[in-house]
Amino acid sequence: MLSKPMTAASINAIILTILDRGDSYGYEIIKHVRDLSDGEIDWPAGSLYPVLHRMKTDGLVTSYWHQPDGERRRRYYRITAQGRTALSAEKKQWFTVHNLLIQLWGPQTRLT
Amino acid sequence: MGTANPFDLEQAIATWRRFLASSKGLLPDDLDELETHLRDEYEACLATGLDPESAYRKAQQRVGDYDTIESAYQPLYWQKVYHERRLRDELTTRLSMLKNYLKIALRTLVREKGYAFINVFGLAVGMACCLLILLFIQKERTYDRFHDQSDQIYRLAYSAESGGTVTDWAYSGAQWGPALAEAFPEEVAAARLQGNLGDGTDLVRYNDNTFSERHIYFADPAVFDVFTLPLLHGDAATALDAPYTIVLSTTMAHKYFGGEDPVGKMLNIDGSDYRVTGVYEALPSNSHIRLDMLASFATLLQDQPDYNSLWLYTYLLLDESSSAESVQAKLPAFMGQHIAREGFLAGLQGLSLQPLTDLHLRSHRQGEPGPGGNPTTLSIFSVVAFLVLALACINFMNLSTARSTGRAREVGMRKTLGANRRQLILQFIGEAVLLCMLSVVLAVGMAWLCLPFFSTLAGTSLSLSVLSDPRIVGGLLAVTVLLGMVTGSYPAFVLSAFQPATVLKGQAGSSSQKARLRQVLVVGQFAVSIALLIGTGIVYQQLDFIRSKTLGFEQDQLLTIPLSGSAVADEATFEAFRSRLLQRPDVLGVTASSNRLGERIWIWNYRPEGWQDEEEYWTTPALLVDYDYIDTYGMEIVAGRNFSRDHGSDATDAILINESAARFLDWDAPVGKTMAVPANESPHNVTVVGVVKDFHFASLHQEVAPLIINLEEGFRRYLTVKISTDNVAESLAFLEDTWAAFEPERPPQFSFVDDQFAQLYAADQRLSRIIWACTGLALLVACLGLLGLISFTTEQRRKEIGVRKVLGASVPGIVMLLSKDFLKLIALAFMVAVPLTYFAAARWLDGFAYRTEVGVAVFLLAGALTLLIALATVSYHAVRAATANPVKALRYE
Repeated sequence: MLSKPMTAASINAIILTILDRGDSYGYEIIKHVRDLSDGEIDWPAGSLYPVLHRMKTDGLVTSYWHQPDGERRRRYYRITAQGRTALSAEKKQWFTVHNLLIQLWGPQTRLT
Repeated sequence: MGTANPFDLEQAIATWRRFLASSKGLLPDDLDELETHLRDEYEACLATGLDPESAYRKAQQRVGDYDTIESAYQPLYWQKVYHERRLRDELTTRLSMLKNYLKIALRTLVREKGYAFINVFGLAVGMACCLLILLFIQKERTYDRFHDQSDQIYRLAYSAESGGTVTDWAYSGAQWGPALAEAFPEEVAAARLQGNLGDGTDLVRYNDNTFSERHIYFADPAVFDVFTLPLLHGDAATALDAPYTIVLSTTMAHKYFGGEDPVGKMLNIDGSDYRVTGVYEALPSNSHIRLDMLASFATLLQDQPDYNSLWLYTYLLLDESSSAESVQAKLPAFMGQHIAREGFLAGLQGLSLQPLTDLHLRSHRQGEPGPGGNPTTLSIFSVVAFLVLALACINFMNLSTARSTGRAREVGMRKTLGANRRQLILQFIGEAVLLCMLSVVLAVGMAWLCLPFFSTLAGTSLSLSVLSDPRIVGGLLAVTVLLGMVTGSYPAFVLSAFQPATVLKGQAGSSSQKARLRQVLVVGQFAVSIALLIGTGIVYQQLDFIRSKTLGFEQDQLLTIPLSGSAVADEATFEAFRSRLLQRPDVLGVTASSNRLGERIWIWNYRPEGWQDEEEYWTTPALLVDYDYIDTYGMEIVAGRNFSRDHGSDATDAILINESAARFLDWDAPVGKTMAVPANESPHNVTVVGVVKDFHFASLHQEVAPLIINLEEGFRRYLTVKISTDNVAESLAFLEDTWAAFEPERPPQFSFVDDQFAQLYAADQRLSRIIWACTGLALLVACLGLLGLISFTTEQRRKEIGVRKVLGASVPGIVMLLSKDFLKLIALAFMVAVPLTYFAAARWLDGFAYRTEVGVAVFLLAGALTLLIALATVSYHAVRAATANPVKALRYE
């Protein structure tokens, strides 16, 4: 299980990335994340939706109700242009942290 | 153990939803989303082989427990909910404040019924007065606008010079209009209206209905193109084509034919039969010309194919594309081509196009079809209306500020409880607007009640029908609100500026500064009232001067009867009639003449002795009379002699001239001088046998013009009878009987000469009456204000008065004390009003050639009257305050 601060830090980037691949709805997003992380990351639905709401207020995503054939009527979310900008900023930061940690955790290099 | 309940998914979900909605405050939209999620999870869990109940528990766990959901959604909702709650709170506060304001306003109104009444009533009187005057002005300004193309209609009129003076005539020549329309066919349509030249009356008969009519015109068929005269019966294209056809207004059709259909019937006018070919909608009263009947112009042309009278009206309808300027520019060339300058037209100066909509107010030419309006009067009315309204507004402000001390505590309280200045200003302005609304409702009611009375006063018929126009109502509302804001703003600013600490300690009083402003306003009010009063006095004085001015003849017992068309006009009948009348001792004289005094007198051409140019004539008014005229009218001969039957030659060649004519011709000894009369049939010379002392034959607005009195017995158009004043009723009855014996079919139309002259001043009389009414109202409003102020002051000084009385002050002393201040103000107002009125009155009097002197008396009288009325107002309260038992005022000390 991911820690609370870690969840809070990563949830935006994860949601935006998933939506960047196509419109989706809450259950699908959670399922997707759960599957890809082998159940390591499993957000309670109750905490995902408020995040989506806030992202909507911030203008990163939009939502619409839609009922695909033979399925339930669901609220779909779609990334906006502003959301894409935010996503690339997130990406850059994650890569920065990632690169740093990889280097730090890799073979010991002298710092002086 | 009981039977295990089979798991019910729908019920579980419903319970879950209900709980989240009621306890955790989730919104339906979000619940829908969560529910679909729950169902998705549930199905996924079922698919892994779990039984329904376990699957549901797993799904619910994944969605999150209640507290997690609540804490996740809370930050989201908090903002929303907070926002809504704040809005709701704000709204309730405002509403309850508004309720409070209204309640306080009403309580104040009820508690101070007297002031409220004075305020609302005073304002309403001012508004009603203003409204009525505005109605009048609006009517005067919208004359002739009911014609569809009123902006494109013009009247063609000429100016002609004669003997050195240029006269502007309202007329044009009979052949000019058609010639103009022919010359510029794409620009102009013309309609001619040949009237009866103002002398009056046509006798119209249908079966037993016989009336004299004054507003019958001969008209071209084009009159229907130019004017908007909707034909109810008949065909506009052909109605006026044939000779001896006539169309009637609805009023006339009803008058002669009642319920019958008049079309096709024959109407007898002055002995000729006309066939009625149509009925048109009668023109509204705001038309400069009254068209009762229109006979075909072809009637005139049948007898005189080249009919070329110079005394008819021509109306032109210009095409939309052409402007009056462009047509006007072509007129001089047109004149050169089409108008022969000979005879009377030798002095033709020019043609003008007068816009139809200007005719009523701005055209005052010779021969106008109606009396016309006066722009000066309108501006006087506007000023008066504005003054009365201003007076009422001043009252309102005055009383509101005076009463402000009474509300000081309320203001202090509100301020202490956190009201800011803006709110207070809004509150008081709102109150003022409310009062204004009340007043305007009252004012409309008053105006409605006074309308018939005011219509008589103003001499026109007015209606409040404009109030059905939503734009007017909107405007009225806007003005009311504006008025409320203006009048309410001063008290609002004063009241809202109170320091709560001071007023709550009870120290708020009227500061001397505020009192001074009130005094200035009172002075202003009374200055206006006094000015109006003086104005009324001067107008009255001038009108009285005119009434009592000796006109140069004895106007009192003279009455006239029109003779044209009557059998009595024939020489033999006239002589018989005359001698029958003269047998009675109460008939002092009988004479016949061509025109009546006070109306337009015909003009004729003369060439006085000594004028060299054979072609030049002196065109001047000339009265054609018989031997008895001068004696009957009691005119004075200052040189030479009167006409006399003893001089045989008088019948053909004697004239009298008035002093003014002698001056004009520069003849020191006129008797014996001759003039040539260029009459077509018999050019001859006439000799001046005497000079008549100047007498007024027109309005006193003008100086006495040169006049020739020509002995010419053939023109018996008016009979004048002088009767003794002993028993007028009996003399009139005798006259009527005698007339009936000679002319049984035609009722005589008596009119007294002094009434005829009074007609000349109808507009002045109207002005006088309206100013009278307004002055009364202004005084009423000013006194109402004074009443409010004095009762307020006495109330404020109750304790002082009590103490004074206890200490031995007398009642007169206290009355004096209370009245003194106000009387000083009125004296000041008097000094302000006098110079203003003096100059205004001088300007109005300049419009009269003969005017009264503005004496000191009228000023003093107005001042004294105002003082008296004010004193009466003030002393009522002062005496009451002074005679009150001091114990009542002091028992709480």
